[in-house]
Amino acid sequence: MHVTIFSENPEALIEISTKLRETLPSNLKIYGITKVEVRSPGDYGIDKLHIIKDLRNIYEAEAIIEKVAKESYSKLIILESNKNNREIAARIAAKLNAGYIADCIDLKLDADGSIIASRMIYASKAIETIKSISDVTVMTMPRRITEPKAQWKVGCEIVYEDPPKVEAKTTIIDVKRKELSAIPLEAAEVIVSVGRGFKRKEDCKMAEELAKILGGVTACSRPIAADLKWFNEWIGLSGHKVSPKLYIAIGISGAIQHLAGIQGAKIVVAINKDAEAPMIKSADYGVVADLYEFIPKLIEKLKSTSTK
Amino acid sequence: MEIAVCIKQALDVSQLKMDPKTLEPLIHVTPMKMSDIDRNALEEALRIREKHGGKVTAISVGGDKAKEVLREAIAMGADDAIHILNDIGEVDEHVISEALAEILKMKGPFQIILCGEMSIDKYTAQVGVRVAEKLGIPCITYARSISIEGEEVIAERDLEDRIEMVKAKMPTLITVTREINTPRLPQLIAILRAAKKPIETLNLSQLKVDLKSKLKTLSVKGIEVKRKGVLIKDLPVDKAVDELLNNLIREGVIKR
Repeated sequence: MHVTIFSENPEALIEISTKLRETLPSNLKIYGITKVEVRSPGDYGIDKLHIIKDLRNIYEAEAIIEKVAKESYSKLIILESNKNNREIAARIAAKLNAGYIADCIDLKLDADGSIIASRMIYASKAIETIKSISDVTVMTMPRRITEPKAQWKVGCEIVYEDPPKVEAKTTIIDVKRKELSAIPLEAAEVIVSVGRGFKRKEDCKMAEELAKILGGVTACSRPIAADLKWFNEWIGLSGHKVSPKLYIAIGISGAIQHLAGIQGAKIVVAINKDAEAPMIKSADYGVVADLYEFIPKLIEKLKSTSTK
Repeated sequence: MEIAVCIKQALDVSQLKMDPKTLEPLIHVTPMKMSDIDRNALEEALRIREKHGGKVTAISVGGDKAKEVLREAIAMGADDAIHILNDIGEVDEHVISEALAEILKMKGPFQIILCGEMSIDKYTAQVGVRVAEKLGIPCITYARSISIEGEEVIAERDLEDRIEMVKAKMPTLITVTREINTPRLPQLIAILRAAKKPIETLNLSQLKVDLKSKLKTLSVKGIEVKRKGVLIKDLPVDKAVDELLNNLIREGVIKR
């Protein structure tokens, strides 16, 4: 089977190629498309790599993916899952009248050679297993579904190309960068997360101090970022999905979308005044206490033990 | 200005329960509701109409019960509602988009078509984009604000690391995020009036579009996330802190 894979980010590209080598039969041929150099792509199982350094927008990305997929007779097209790529994937699928499986976390071939894939649905409460009966299947795949492994040693042909000339139907007139956490939330080992239980923005300093002592970062639930705008990013289904060793939810009620974002956490601690809060019930350790009394005390204890 | 809004009646996931033994999601006893983000799309359509005049048409593909969300849309202020009755059983996003695009062509032209960025139950974020492609019009995804200037629509796209301001010539399809607005609550009188309003219904099987799904769901299995559920309560703050710290040290997630 021939597969075309795309990501601007070489790390994501080699994760996807690794996943394919691990799950699909050996007659696989992988055609990669990216923006920058990839260190020994053949080791990660990529047979041919198209590098397009000046890829400027989603329409050019879409055009090059379509071109490579068509020329390589790919039956499967996989893009790294992010907001722009989900748009590109849906549009390619529409053009090809193809099935598009969003955020695929696992795949295999059925006995009849068709693709079977799984994805999370219902706010990550369930896994849907889908069979594709499409001539070509389009997918997006999230990061970290496998560790990249440099063990296939196929010879990789590398070609440098200019971006295709295409007409953009929308025009970007301005771009504002968001101020983001210094460590990506997905990579953080400890996350201290604040919710509506905090009365003022200044009070979040407590959470920052706690995070600092524990060597972690701060984050928040959706209302804190989306409604109150105290933070720029939030944890949850529509925000970041995280998997730290320790997740401390302070004053977060625990809406189902929030819980879906922390499924990968090893240990979850909830601190909430309300013993009935879903967050308390969905934690490994649920502390029923007033955060304004509990957190300062917790910080004090941690400080005194670390200086001993 | 002719505005259309595509609305899905979705599973109210917050009320979904699993069979404790088989982990099968108990879908048939779970209530349905208007997908939250589609509600934002409808609200935005109403606001555009309030500012620029025109008409708002709500469209939904679904079983007989999908009429409920269309009545709700009318109660919120939509002028018209069209129900594409799914009379052929489970279909995928390809078929849904084909049907929506066909109706939008039939009932249009619409200058603006709004959708939620994704549905709250399946989260595939593809129907809006597919519909735009079928109609051959521009698509702006993840809009957290929309303004109209002359023949153009300008929107702020909310991406992971940046906000992109983009413009496109109308007609345009826009998918919105939940941050774009706070939807209004329908008035009781409007709810009563909406109950009487006839809703145009067309059968999905009668549409001259490709009705063959490309994807087929084989199974849906619930996931059990096992948490320890240790409760630390009714302790003086001092003791509660110690209790928590001892546990976290034992778990090896903080260092002593």
